[in-house]
Amino acid sequence: MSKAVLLAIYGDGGHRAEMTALIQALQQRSNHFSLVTLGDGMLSLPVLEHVQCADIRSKHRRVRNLLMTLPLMLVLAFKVWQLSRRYAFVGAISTGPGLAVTPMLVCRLLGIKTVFIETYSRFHSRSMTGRILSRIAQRFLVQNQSLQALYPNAEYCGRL
Amino acid sequence: MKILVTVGSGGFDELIKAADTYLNFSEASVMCQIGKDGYRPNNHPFVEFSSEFSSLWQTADVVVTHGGAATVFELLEAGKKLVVVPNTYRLDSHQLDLAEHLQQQQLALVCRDLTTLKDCVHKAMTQTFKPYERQPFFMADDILHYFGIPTS
Repeated sequence: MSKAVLLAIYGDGGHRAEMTALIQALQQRSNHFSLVTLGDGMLSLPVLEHVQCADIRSKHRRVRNLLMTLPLMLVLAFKVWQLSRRYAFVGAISTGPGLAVTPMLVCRLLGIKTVFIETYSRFHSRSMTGRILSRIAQRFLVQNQSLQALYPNAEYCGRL
Repeated sequence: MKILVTVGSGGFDELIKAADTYLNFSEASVMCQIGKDGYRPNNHPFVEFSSEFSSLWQTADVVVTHGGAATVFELLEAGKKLVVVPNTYRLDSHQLDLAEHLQQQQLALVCRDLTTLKDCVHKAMTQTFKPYERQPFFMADDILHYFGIPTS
């Protein structure tokens, strides 16, 4: 029986650390799945394929964001569509940030199950990515219980 | 007494410059972990960020850190005394969110004005913080089941 393939989408820094912790938690419970990653930097874990992508928004350059965000979002959407032609994903899971928006939307449109985990740095406010993906992802998880007041559809999952 | 100043992988030159300017102690040594191609302090030894980060903080008595969640949680779990400096030079201000939580829960000392960095470190040296307790992630089986992946 071939293994199920999961698409993991994440950014750099804390988002990658969260994804690493998440995949390790899943692998502790099951060895019946393989990974394809779309992210900023590789995980220190075996994967079938990694597609490198930087975040669609700069942390410091507002003008770059105005010019580049939309084209980068479209590129990411196309990359996910290409991946979906090669792998029969059983699901897509993301720990953010903004680079996850169009890939998760494409997965949703293709009928791939989607789970988003809001970053653990949020306690009293919603991220832009969280605001959007709380409406797109089929399951929306938060790591801090205080966020359930801000996201009515959120499920609390503990901290990665 | 050993003090580590860390800015994580993203860089936060303003914090390293403040450490270079204000952190001079007769009774403590200061080590800086700078961002890639970041500002290099003149008055303290420094290293660039690497995956060996944990070997840096293990011997530190106080850690001055940016407000990146991955770094902050790693250090809190290790029981380190923290001075957290939220990086408000970024376009997004999510580090303030975490800083507010840390202050409310008395888990760390938050420094919002870099000119007061030395005072903040002095306070952190003597202050007692609440221990950090986290509820670990508990939804692995749920997610695997949702995706139709059997557990082992």
